[in-house]
Amino acid sequence: MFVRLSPTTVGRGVAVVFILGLGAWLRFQGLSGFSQVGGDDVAYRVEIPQYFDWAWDSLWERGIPARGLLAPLVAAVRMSHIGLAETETSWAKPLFVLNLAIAEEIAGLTVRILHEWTAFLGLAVLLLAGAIGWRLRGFNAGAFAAFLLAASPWAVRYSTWGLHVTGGSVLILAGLYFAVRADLTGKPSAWLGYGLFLWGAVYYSTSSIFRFFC
Amino acid sequence: MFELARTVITGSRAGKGCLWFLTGFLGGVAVWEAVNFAVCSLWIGYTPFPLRLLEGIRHNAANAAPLPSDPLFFWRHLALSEGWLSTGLLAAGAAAGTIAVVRRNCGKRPALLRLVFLFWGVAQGMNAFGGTQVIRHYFPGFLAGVIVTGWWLSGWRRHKRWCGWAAAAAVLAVAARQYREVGVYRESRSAPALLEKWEQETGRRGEGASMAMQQWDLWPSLTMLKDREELEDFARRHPRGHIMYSDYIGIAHGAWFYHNREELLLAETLRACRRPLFAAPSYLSYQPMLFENEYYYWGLLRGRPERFDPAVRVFSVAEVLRARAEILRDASLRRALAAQLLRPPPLRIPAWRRRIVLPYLESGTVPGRSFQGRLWEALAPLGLLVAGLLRQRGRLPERDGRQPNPH
Repeated sequence: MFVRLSPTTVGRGVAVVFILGLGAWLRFQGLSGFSQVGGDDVAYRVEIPQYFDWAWDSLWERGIPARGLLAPLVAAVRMSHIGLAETETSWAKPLFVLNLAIAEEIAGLTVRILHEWTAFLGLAVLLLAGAIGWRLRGFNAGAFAAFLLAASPWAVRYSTWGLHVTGGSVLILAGLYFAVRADLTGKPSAWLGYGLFLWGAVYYSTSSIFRFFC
Repeated sequence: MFELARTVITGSRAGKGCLWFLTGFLGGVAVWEAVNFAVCSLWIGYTPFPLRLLEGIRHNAANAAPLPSDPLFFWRHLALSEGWLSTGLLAAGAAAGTIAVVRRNCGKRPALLRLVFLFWGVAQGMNAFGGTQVIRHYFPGFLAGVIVTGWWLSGWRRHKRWCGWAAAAAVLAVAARQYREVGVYRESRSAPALLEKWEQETGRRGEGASMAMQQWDLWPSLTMLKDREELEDFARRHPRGHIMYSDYIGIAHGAWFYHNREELLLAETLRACRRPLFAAPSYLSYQPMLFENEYYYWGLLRGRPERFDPAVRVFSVAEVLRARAEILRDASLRRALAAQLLRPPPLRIPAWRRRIVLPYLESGTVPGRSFQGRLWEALAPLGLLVAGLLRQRGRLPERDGRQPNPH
């Protein structure tokens, strides 16, 4: 009925709650009214509906019924090519655009939801960094890493900008977790997870920013 | 040969692991590309994502102007932005770490080696993205606090607690000093409210415009102008319209980027007609190239105006168009503006091998790092790695299986 917790467990729980609370407070306070909207966001508002219309028209002209899940996929594929002609490789983010397309065209959300979404991803980054640090160097190291990410101004800002780098960081850190696991256990599933998450990171965002910030 | 490779790859734990890793990574690529090919190739055509990526990287490498390398930049900027106290703390930490590594006596204090690597990472991050100046606007004393906290947690000075308390006092002093210094910056954050108040008082809400910029939603009442045609169209629709200089927002945000050549021209035009409107120094009346260079290179504001007027300043659109026509008529005026843009910034500490690049980027082209810059970045961790290996050499087990002498 009542689980007796050791003082260490209680202390660690308090630390985790404090760090998560701090990270959430810094990321979500005033997010709706004061969201930092980057150039990508402005572009998405115009381009996603545009490319959806274009993809829809091209399908309709050929008599191909691409409704439901197929339409955002086509739009995402098409959008993953945008900007590459202008050689900005950070625009190459097919999985992120797929996210966006599904949110906007299927779930009926607006692009603004990106800010809440990446703020959640920023919190996931804290948890993953903390887990890796804990696994490698003990609880204090993990808590310190998570605290740095929770309070680091750039990490907080990037989390609220609705950019793809946050998701890329989540996937990279998940991949790193599996890398650590593979190194410690040598299990094939860990190596496989490492490869899959790194693939996801590359296709989610090719930006180099998440090497330092999430 | 093939047999040897097969034995090495499938016969070892690491080789098998690598195969599983490649299965995951390349499997993801294959599935995504196959699905996309099936969905798109028949009617819209599809180029595989890796090929698109390579094409983009190749074009970017061919077109981007490399940033100059400046290995001392971090330290110079740190001294200017964080103050000499923070710089002293960081320099002392780095020097102590380097000395300990070189003397090969930090085996008892491996945390120190990790801190050196951590410091190198922080320095690279600062160099690449210029976080120092921006961080202190929101968290005074952040950098010094992080380093000292890490230093304290590492247990290096566990037997000398007073060192930790002294460091904490130093961080508090840095934070207080920075909080006082960047009050100007905090004031600038209230600019949207000031603009709104001005618009309400003058009854001119909805008649304002500015150029494309970051943080657009901070300025809900302004119309975004992408080029000259939109400016002229706006002037036709709103004869009493006003335009806000977007450099203000760029500076307040900590980013400098002209999206297209028209924006650069607009900025030049606005500078040309700033004199009567900008009697008092403000973020809008800064000297050209005082900040732009830094923004262009690093996204930072180095230094600040002597006196600051945080009020929002706006131009009349008609005046902007008049100034633009004047500039286009008078080639010498245009040359003078270009000369202003090319004037080197009055840095308090001169940059090493300073090079001035026009604050304009080809749309979508990300500036690359110069060869020297990459060389410095590569050599720094390599040097530490070599030092670490040299340090560990004496601790490796002997060939005959005897344990090394711990002393």
